[in-house]
Amino acid sequence: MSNDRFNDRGEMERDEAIAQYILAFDHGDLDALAQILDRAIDDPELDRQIAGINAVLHAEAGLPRPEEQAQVVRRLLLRHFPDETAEPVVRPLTVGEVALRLQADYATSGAISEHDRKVNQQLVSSSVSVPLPAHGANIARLAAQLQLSASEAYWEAFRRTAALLSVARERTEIELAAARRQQRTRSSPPSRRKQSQVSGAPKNMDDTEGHPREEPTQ
Amino acid sequence: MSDDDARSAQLTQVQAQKTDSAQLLRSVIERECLDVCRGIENYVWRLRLAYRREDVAKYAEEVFQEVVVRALSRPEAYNPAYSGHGWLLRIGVNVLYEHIRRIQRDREHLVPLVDPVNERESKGGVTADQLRQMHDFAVQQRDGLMELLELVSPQDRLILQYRYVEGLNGHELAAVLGGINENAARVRLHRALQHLSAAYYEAEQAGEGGRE
Repeated sequence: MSNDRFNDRGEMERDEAIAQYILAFDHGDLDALAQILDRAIDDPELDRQIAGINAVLHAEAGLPRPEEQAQVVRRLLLRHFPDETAEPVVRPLTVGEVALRLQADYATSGAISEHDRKVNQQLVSSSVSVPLPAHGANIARLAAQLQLSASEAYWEAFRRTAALLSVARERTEIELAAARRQQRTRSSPPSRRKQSQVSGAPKNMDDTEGHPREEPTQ
Repeated sequence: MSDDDARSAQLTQVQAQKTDSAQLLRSVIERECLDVCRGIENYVWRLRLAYRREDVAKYAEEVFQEVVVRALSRPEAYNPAYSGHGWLLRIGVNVLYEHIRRIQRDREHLVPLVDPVNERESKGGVTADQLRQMHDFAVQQRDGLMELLELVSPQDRLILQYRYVEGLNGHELAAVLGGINENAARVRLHRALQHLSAAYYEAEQAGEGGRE
């Protein structure tokens, strides 16, 4: 009986945990279930055994079979990939990118003083993020932070270009995310819930809520 | 490099790490999705949060959505050394806690959500300690166990006898129970032990009551 799981010490402890898990499940005791799951987080073998026990309890309750469940799971996965549900990630706009765009604009229009041209040239290599929204006060703060003196007309042109670039970038990211989402859901059944409802998380949920180890429940 | 450039580079690095964590978590969710959903459905069913089987899947789906949203809201909280299934299921338990609290808040008086599995358990109300004691007793007192086994049904008696009197292991137990899944055999064994514990402590209490 060398492979007797009941004779191995580690296995005996796991077996006891499984017994407690089944007992907790039968009693609907979430506290006890949570305690055993906390142990399983650090014990892959116990975790695997719990998954096996859950499969048995699931079948015992007469809940939908795995093949039927697989469809639900596929739908959930499609709905919950980060690039589908999360807000599109928009890269921060940098001073360098705005300056580069201004450089191109000035190359065609030529409407810039020599001093402003030099300032703009210096900014082309900057990776400092442009504060958004690009209104006057934010750009004035940025100008002070960069410690570069340029004309009022230059900073106004900078502000307008930054505003246009940020809007264009945001729109592109949103359109890309929407296109990906559409492509993925084209072959799947229509979503039961609106996208705005998908999150379902309580509105007052802070970042740490619901994460094991971060915030012990109760 | 100026302070601003350094800050910006640091921000970019943090964002890159966050993206890596999100990718890792996403693959964990994909891998464990089926088992986690199954576990949540079990809890929803057992806690009577939905009464019809078809409603259980819908309810569990909503809970799973909350689990995923919460997990992905802070992907860096997931440690790659953790068992993904257990970690996600644990978040599911937290979500269910909140659902239950909300339900209870909505009611004027607290109503227990869970009824015991069956009548026998409701009488016994066996605890984890009692279950452990019964297990230890069964392991140590093979001969004395036969008398105790009279307290349970023939089906429970048989499985307890196979395990504790004849010493069959999980695999062998599954085979003699008609070639069932080993996990199913374990569930049956632990249920039988629960029934025995409940019946024993109930009989013990009745005996003490009689003496008084």
